[in-house]
Amino acid sequence: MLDKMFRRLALRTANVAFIIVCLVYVVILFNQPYVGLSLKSIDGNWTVKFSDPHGEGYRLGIRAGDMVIKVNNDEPGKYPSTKKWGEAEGASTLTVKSPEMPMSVVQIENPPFTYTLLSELPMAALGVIFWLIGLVTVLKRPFLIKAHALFWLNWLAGLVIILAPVSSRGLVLARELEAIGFSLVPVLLVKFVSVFTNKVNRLNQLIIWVLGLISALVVTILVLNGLGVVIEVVEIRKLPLVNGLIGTVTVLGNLVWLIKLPADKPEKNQGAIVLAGLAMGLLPFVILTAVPILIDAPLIANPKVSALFIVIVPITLSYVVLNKSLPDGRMFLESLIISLVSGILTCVLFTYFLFLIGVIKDLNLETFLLWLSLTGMALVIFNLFKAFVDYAADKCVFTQGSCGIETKIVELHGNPSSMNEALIVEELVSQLGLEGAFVIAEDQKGWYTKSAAGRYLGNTTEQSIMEDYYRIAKNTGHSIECFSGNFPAELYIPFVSEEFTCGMFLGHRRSYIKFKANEVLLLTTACYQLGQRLQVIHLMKQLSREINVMEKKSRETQRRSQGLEVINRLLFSNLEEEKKVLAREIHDGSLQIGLDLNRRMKELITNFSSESNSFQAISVMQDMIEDLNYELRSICSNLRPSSLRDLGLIPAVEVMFEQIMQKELLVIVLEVMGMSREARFKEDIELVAFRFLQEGINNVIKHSGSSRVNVTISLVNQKIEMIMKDSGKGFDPQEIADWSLTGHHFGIIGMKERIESLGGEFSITSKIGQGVMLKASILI
Amino acid sequence: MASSLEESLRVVVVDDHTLFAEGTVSLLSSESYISVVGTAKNGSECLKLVQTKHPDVVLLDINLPDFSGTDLIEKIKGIAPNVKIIMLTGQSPEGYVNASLNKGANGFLLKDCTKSEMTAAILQVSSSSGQYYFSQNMAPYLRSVIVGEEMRTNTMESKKISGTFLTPKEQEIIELIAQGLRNKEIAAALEIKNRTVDFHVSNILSKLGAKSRLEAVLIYTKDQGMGDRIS
Repeated sequence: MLDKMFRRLALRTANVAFIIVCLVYVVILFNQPYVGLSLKSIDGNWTVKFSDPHGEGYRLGIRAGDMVIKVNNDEPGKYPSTKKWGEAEGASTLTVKSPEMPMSVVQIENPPFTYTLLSELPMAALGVIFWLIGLVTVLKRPFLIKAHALFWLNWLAGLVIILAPVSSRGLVLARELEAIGFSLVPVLLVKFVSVFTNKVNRLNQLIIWVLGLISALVVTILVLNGLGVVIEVVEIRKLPLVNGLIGTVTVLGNLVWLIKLPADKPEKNQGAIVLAGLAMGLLPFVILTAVPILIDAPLIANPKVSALFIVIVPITLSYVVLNKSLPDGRMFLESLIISLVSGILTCVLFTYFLFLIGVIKDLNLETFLLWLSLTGMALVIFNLFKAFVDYAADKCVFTQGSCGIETKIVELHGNPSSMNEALIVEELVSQLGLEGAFVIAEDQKGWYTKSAAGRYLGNTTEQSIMEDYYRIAKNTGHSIECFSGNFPAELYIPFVSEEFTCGMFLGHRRSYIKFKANEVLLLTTACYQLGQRLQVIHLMKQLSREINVMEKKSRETQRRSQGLEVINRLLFSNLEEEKKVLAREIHDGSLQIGLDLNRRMKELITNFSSESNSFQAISVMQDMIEDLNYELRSICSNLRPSSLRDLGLIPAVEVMFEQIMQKELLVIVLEVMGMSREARFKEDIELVAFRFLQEGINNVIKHSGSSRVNVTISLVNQKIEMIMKDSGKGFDPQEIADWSLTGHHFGIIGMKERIESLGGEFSITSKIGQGVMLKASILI
Repeated sequence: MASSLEESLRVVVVDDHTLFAEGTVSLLSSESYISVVGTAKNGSECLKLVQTKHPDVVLLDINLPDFSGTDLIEKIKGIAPNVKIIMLTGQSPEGYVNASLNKGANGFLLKDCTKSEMTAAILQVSSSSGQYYFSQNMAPYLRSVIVGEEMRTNTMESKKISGTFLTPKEQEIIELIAQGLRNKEIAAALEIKNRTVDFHVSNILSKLGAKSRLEAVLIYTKDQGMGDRIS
């Protein structure tokens, strides 16, 4: 935690310091001219060893070999800058004696603002870019050690680059800081490389130690020097150089080691890319600046310009750190080396040719390098243009073509799926930019569909040709086929799964779009996916059809059962109605006739003497009529007791119970609670209640073997509650469920049905040997 | 209403069975002291007739399409409190007898009763004695009325001497009842008609003062035991 906080704090401080240094530097830069003279005291005379062409001294005509007599009108040995570093930075006047020239006093002035700006901007920009790249890297990957190492490296490198011009102007501490920074750069570089290789290398650690020691030594010397202890300070400059040399060798060694790793290690590729980046960044500097200096030729380009290419190095490093999946580094290196070698060879030939035709007078390395750099620049420019034009053409001109098939396939799959085959095929056509497609799909159960899109739409002749082909191809097990010549389509792709077959024809023979060989695989994949999609859609449709059918069936069943229920109820109420009608018909018709007949017969009998034969015959007849009437009456009473209608539930029940008690060896104890004998209810309620008691008593008589039944009729909470209890055999209540199926005890089932149809409740409780209790309650 | 023999009795016949009503009218027409002043097919016609014709006696069918016979009694009495009402019933009159008498009916006739019975009933109810008249054949049906209400003490007496009251046929039948036979089974065993058995059983029950078959059996077997011991 603390470590993290410290790291964050350090990061912020570093950035703030960098910005402050930049600002200070800019301010100073514009107020302090660069003299650019390197002096050496020879026998007390300060001779100019080197005059920087960019310095003010050079501009004012001071050249190497001149003697500086006075600095600021005083002995040069007394001027601090001259004394310490052998320079004349910060001086305002110089008294110079050139050979064969009179002594002259030159006034050193600030160069114009724009001049300073233009001459210092490239390096300043380079420094800032270094720092920014490091910052961006660490912000993007804040938890990556590599990123942090890179940031510190870039920060220091940027600082050193920015400090360089200030240091050359001999400002307070700038030179010291520059020296320290420069000596520290290799330390951070090696540190970065060792982190970068993901391996704690002992050699690397040791080198870091050594480099650190050297840096510390530099710092110590500088501090001592600052305190007044005189050491041969010019030599200090060599220490950072030593550091730099060691650092460079270490880095190169590490990179070589990385590249020699087996191919499956990602570090190998990273190493290759870093090496390629280094080569690209440093090559221009080598060609344009280093080599000419070495061969003592005039510089081809300002070193500040060639140094700008170095920016490629931090960019490469940042890229490698930021990205996980990298392009093949070997390819880069390879093409780089090939380009370089072929460029050098081409340039040799070219230069020789130019020499032969007389454009070049002298054939030397200097001219060759010039032409090489020109060729290189031309190549770079050519490639840049090529890449740009390629991109532009890709974007604008050929979008209609099949070049973007990959992206189109991606788009295709992103689209919301539709359930219509034809629409899907159309979608495929429009998304892939084809001119036509024809898709046939079928399953083993005989389902068959074809969908055409684009040019095939409505073209039945071509469709039938393709259908014929599909049938043959299906039977012969043909696979993907590219057609040529007269066949309508360009490509045939079959999709076969267990129960689903699909044939897809793509493209059109008169289409300007022709498939490339490398696109066939991609199209095949797309078509397989299309096939799967069609299959899934087909299955879904099938399922939904089945679900629909089932739903319809279940609805029908439900309706039927509801109908049955209604019929059931109607049946019972109709039954009652029929009974009622029948009872009335018998009562009002035959019974009345019978009664009248009986009355007349009785009247007739009185006119005969009891001895006559006719009397006997007539009295037999009268007796028979009496029998007939008796039967008719009991039929009527059984069908629908008129007492129920005329007198109400309780009297009717009493009459019924009395009749039963007369006919059966059964005692019925009736208890009526909560209502009077005369209480009347709706006709159907009375009837159902009456039938319940009738049926219950009949069951007791038939099945229970009980000689006593207790019946309670009570009116509670607007409900007629009836309880009938016997003390007979009883039964297993689990049998009840089977009764309706087997047709047994249909009376009880009917009772239940009728009571429930009035919104009442019905229950049977029984145990074997403990009698039966019937319970019914009907809302009045 | 006091009525003399010289003046004929005004009778209204109420029956929705036209044929039967005509029969009744023709039977009564031969009697000089009875004049049928009107016939009605239903309750409302009957009430109009009672209002307009001022009958002495109403022969009222118990089963009418618009009113239940018992309800109509109250209405008639409401219009003409002195009119006598004789109920006619084609069905077994159980349950109705009490209800009708309570409402104010004066007599009860079975529809197949003879002419003489009918005229006797008319004469009796319209006489000043105010006696109720019941059809002869109604004896079994009247049992509940008699047993249940008025003649309780009598039945208690009759019960004691029940054994001697029963005819040989009835004794034969109650023996079979005690064995648990049903009426149809008894009819088959004795080779007599169902109606005859029913009639006998009704008589037995009323003679023994029993409301149920089981009670009758218990009374009979108890008496038999007593009788056996006595004899």
